[in-house]
Parts: sequence; C-alpha cells; structure tokens
Amino acid sequence: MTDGMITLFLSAALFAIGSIGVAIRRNPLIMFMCIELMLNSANLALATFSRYYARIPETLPDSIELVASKDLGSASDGSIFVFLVMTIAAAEAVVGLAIIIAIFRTRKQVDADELAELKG
Amino acid sequence: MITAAKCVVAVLALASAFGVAFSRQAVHSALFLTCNLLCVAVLYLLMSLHFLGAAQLLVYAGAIMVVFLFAVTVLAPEDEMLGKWNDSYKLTGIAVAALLGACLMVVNSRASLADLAAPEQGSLKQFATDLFGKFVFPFEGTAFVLLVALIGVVLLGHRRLRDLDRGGPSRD
Repeated sequence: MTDGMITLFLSAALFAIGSIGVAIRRNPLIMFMCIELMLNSANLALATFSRYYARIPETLPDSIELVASKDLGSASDGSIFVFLVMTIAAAEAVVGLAIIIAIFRTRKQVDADELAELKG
Repeated sequence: MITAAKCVVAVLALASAFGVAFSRQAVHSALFLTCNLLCVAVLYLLMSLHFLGAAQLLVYAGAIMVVFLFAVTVLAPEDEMLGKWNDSYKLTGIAVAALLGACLMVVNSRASLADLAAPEQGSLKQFATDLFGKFVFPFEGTAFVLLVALIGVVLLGHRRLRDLDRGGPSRD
C-alpha cells in the first residue's frame, strides 16, 4: 500500500460516514456538518490524486499514449481546484446556516422531519 | 516515518468523523468536526501540499467553524430533539452508506498511485503563477460567488423580509 492509498481510503470512509450522518440525524445543523464532512473528504481525494498523479507520464501504464504533452497541465492544477472548492464550500456553509437560522426564527424549532411543506 | 504519521492522523480523523455523525449534542459534533478538519489539514501538510494545509486551517477550521459554533449557540435546540435520530431511516441510511463506502473503497483500490517525490520548494510559486494566470477567471468567479453569498445572507438574516419591499429596514 503506497502512501497515497491511506488518504484515498480515508476519504472514502469519511464520505460514507458523512452520508450516514445526513441520513439518520434529524438536527439540520448536524446534517449540515456531515455535508461539510463529505465535501471535505472529496477535497481530500482530489488533493491525493493531484499529489500522487501529478506528473502523469511517469505514472501512466505503458499501453496508453498521450496525444500532446501540453494537455497534461501542471502539478499545481489539483491544488488550485481544491482551493476553489474550499472557497465555494465557505460560501455554501454561510448561506446554509443563514437558511437554517431563518427557519428556526419562524418555526421556533428545527427538525428535518417537520419541514415538509414542499411535499405538497 | 511519514507513513506512520499519516496512519495515526487518519485513525484520528476517522474517530472524529464518527463523533460528528453520532454525538448527541450539536456542540460536540461541531468540536469533533473541528478535530476532523485539523486532521485533514495535517494530512495535507504531510503530503507536502503546504498551501492547501494553510488554507484548510484558515478557511475550514477557522472561518467555517466559527460560523457553525455561532449557529449552534443561536439555535440552542430544545433538549428533547437533541438525541433523536431518524429511526425510520436508520437502517436504510446505514445500509446505503455502507454500500456507498464499499463501492468507493473498491474503486479507490483500483487507482494506481505512484510514490512520487514531494514537490520541490518552488511549488508555491508555481501555484500562484497558475492561480493568477491560467485560472484567473475561475478565481474571479469565486469572488463573485462570495459576493452573491454575502448579499444573500444579508437578505436572509434580515429581521423582516417584507420591510425590504417597503423600501428600507425597520427601525425598531
């Protein structure tokens, strides 16, 4: 098992645990935290791939040929993607928490099962 | 050495993730989430992705956790719903999540990762050059997204949304 597999498996496990939390909890805050956990685990997988897959020609199997070497991108591309995802996650967290607080202010209680108006 | 450190931090991250999903109180979940994000930041540092580690600390463990803790204190949910779980979905949720985790594990185990040398010292320079060169439009796009989120939060947090239609905030 190489170094990168540890973080890769960790990210898979974190994603699964986060999805358990989203499914079985009723407190929207904790559900939201679990969503953050899942986002973070996806980031971890992306960072791992960018770190251990960065210089692709050295890691490709022999049977695959590249069309042009300029398609590869540079080693920092994955880091930039992760950075952008982090920024979006921050915006998403703030908006989500504001929505939860707004719901709490009008309903005086927060329970994911009680909020079923959109069901029709 | 680094592999051993990674294993220890990974176990810590797993344990704190279980803490997030199964704590009875939201405050405990938030603190476990902080621990988890710190562990992931340490993993980034161990992978020699220094900028990502710093950004993870600042953005997640710093900014987002403050907002979460603030929300937890504002909401202060009633005691009777704290420990309640969604019993009807408990089995289904755990089963689906286990299936998902197993699928991810299988797919990930097929990845062929190589033990590459750590990026050299100039990787941060390369990062900055790419961020403000090749990826400058996505970067500016995030600025726009953050601005929209800011406006949305101000609107959502307003005391009475109807007052905005009448042309201004309420003075009470």
